[in-house]
Amino acid sequence: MKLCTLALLPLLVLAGCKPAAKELKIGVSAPTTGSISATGQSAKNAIALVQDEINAGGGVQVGDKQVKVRFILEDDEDKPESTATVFQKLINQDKVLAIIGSYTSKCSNAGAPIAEASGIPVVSPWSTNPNVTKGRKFIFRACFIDPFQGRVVAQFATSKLKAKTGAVLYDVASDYNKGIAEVFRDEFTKMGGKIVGFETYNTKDTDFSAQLTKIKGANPEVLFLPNYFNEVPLQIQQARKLGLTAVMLGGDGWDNPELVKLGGKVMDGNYFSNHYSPDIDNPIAKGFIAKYKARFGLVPDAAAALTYDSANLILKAVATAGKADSKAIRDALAATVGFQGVTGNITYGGGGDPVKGAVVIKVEDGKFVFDSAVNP
Amino acid sequence: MDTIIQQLFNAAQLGAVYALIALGYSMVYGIIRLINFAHGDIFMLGGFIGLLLTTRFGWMPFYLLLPLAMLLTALVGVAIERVAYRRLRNAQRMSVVITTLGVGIFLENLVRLTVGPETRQIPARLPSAPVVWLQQHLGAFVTWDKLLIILISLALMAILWLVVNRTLIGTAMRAVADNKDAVPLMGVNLNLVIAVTFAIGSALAAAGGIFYGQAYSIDPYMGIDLGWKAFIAAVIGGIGSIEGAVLGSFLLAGVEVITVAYLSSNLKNGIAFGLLILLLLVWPWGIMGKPTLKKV
Amino acid sequence: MVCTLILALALPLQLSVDAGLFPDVLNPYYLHLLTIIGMNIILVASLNLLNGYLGEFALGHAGFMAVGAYTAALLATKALPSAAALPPVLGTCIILVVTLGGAMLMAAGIGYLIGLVTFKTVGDYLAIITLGFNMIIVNAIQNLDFVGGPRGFTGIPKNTNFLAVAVCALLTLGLLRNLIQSSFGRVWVSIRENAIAAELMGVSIAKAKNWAFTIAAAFAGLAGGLWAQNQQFITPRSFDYIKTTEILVMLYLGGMASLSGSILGVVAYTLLMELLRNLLSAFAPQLAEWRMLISPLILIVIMLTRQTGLLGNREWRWLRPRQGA
Repeated sequence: MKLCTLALLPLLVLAGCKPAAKELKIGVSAPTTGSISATGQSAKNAIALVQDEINAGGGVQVGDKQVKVRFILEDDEDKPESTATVFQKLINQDKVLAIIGSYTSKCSNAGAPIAEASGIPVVSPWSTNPNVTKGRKFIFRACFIDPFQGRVVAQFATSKLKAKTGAVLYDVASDYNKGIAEVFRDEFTKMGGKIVGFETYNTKDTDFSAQLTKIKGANPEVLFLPNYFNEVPLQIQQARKLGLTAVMLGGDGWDNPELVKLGGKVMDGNYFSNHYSPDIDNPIAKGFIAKYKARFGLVPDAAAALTYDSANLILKAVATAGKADSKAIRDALAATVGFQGVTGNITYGGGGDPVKGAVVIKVEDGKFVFDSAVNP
Repeated sequence: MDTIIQQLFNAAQLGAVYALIALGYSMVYGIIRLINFAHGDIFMLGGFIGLLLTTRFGWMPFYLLLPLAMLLTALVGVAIERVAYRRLRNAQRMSVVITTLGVGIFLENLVRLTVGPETRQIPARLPSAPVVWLQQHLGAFVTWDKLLIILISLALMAILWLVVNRTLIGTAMRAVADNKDAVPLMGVNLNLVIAVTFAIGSALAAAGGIFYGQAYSIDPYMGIDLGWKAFIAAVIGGIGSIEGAVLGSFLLAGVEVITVAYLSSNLKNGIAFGLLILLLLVWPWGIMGKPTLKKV
Repeated sequence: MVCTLILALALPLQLSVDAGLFPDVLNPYYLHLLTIIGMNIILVASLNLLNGYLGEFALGHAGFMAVGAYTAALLATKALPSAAALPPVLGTCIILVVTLGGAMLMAAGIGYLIGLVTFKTVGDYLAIITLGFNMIIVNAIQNLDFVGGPRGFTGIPKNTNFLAVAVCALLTLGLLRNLIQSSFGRVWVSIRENAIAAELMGVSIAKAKNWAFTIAAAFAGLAGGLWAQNQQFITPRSFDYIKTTEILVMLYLGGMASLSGSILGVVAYTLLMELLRNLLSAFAPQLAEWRMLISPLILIVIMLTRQTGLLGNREWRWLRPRQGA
């Protein structure tokens, strides 16, 4: 029996060994299974698009020769523990030069220390919590951060919707949700509004009726739900069934076709802040949207657009660095100025957070319609 | 005041679903002293079978759909007992428990791979208009589907009580619970009794799954958390007792809703489990369960 | 003998991986897996004390692991200087001894208190009460904001490596082996076999059980302390009943009341999962997601065909006490 087990070990080693090819490897850590797998699928699609685009042109220019690029995508299940394992595997077994990911802030917070210690640059497309990049040299992101987003929504609620009272229901177990909820509360109060309810739940909860009944008792004009698209429709549905009539607001966590698929009519008339809108007039975005639509039959969501931007940011940094070296790529990334992406222009002013604008999107007849743009 | 009444309805709806799951745990435990950890996943499976039927056979009215989904899930429950548990009936008890865990993980992943990991909702088949009478007289905003879910669940529990206490098979079940070794000697088909118990437990869990999918949402992993919760409810009430399982479920749901509404959602599990431990120290066999009295 | 052999292998293995020798065969990913195996062995072997030798059905092991993990994390980040401020090898050793010692003490203390309550019940009710305490510990941590609450504890220094885990796992196995053969251990087995007879012989059952519970909790705390300083990131949710279930599965897969079984169970389970991940992604990537479906099936088949686990209660020779000693 013991011999059997020992015999398994070399098999594991063999399975890991593949012939080394002359190609540039970039890791991707995305939640392709788990509760927000729809985001992982968007990431997978965008990566497939970038890989084919770059390799169709012969690959990326490194120094004086062109090298093909291979993206290695691993599933982090939207779990911090699995993200740590995935980062270990990508860095040590696959020997990637850089990593795209992870997606939710809690996962990025688990993966980032590993990459930081190994000196592998990371661009997170979708993690908006400030702590992800804080105090780290190798971690970048392609999106804006929560304090900005919370302010955008609070401003929209007070000036555009003229709301005087507001309430919040958020997932207290997730960095993203908690961060943005607190910023909204502070900003909304500062802008003259009153927070009449500030309720929490824990990831995986499905019954929100106790919290929503309490909020209903306070009768707010707007209810801010800075949670992910797989939960928000259920929250709104339960709220409506309890007789809550407030306008619902949200953050970029809403942005996924699943939102309307799951929620249907109940989503109409609500607003959320986002990284980009397919309706915005930007030639790079137009090209990306057309290609994405042609290949996958879907309008790309923000996660897809940001993944596309993150991958191109890294490829551009590789070309600028002129060599396949993680440290040089990191330096080139940090020096990025005026990178033109699908979701706007990206410039890193020292840290890993870009200065970018946001848009507010309204849900109308099951479609995401551009409402207004906000610049920092 | 109106908020409190509304909270009571919230608790009743959650408690009804807990009870439908808890009954299966309690009955199976009562008969073969087995903690069936896959039962939460049978509940999940029932929800997904309900989802499949609603989306595939859109014409099917709810009063047909519910029994059909219950029947299908019951078949699965019996099949699992036949394939995985029966031959372990006389084995070390722990190997059976581990097998039930394995079956549970298998079901979760089977559903994830075939249907997908996304959170889903069973399309509404019950009217979702508010009950006007309650709104006018009590000021509570309660929709018809919530009321119906509570009422149908209570009706199912009443039917179960009648089956167990007023029919021949029910008598056989109670007899097996009392003494598993003596009953076969009396000419009772033990395998049949156990199969019927699994069938009833699974069917009730399926009803719970469908109600849960209507009221909240379903996903392949929901059986883990809710299964444990219902199990706790069964133990609080006294595992092996039907009345206890129902009472424990409503009690647990009530405590949870009150905790979330008046304290913090963060304390929900801690208070629920603390209550469990306290109760077990006061009443070591649960509220209704008595070691010498009848068990089912 | 085997112990020395494993240690003799572990040291050069750690050093050569650190130095980046033979990067294709000995890479940190494999070492990461071996490290996980080592920590799981500590968890499973200590649970075996309760569920195998004492014959109870405890379901709360991950709770004590959580206590150890959070204690070690707090000590390492708040109370102690970072390893960089101390002399290179010795400093890490001191930090490890302090954090792991603290983790074990804390887990043992809480285990003792919980044991006082728990052993008022037996059988399935004991299972449920231990499970309840597991959830209460997790929930309490979720409400402690200074350790990150439900969002988890970040920024724990990486003080553990494979070598440290290997040493701890071997020490645990050695201690447990001797303990089980001591008069203490024989009392536990006698309680399992016939509690009434044991009591008649003058054994204080409650005391003996609580000792076993406290010791098992201490080792779970040790595993937790190692875990925290290896993962560098812990969340309360990683220590709930799903983790307990995983420990149980490995325990029963290997076989009860056998330390060899605990080792085999852990190795077989961990390698199976990773092997499926690697084989599937190398040869059939479209089936990669079926990994989680295949592994429970294998578990069920093993339980149906070998009801006492892979090893039953047999013991490898090096884990048996020396004859005549």
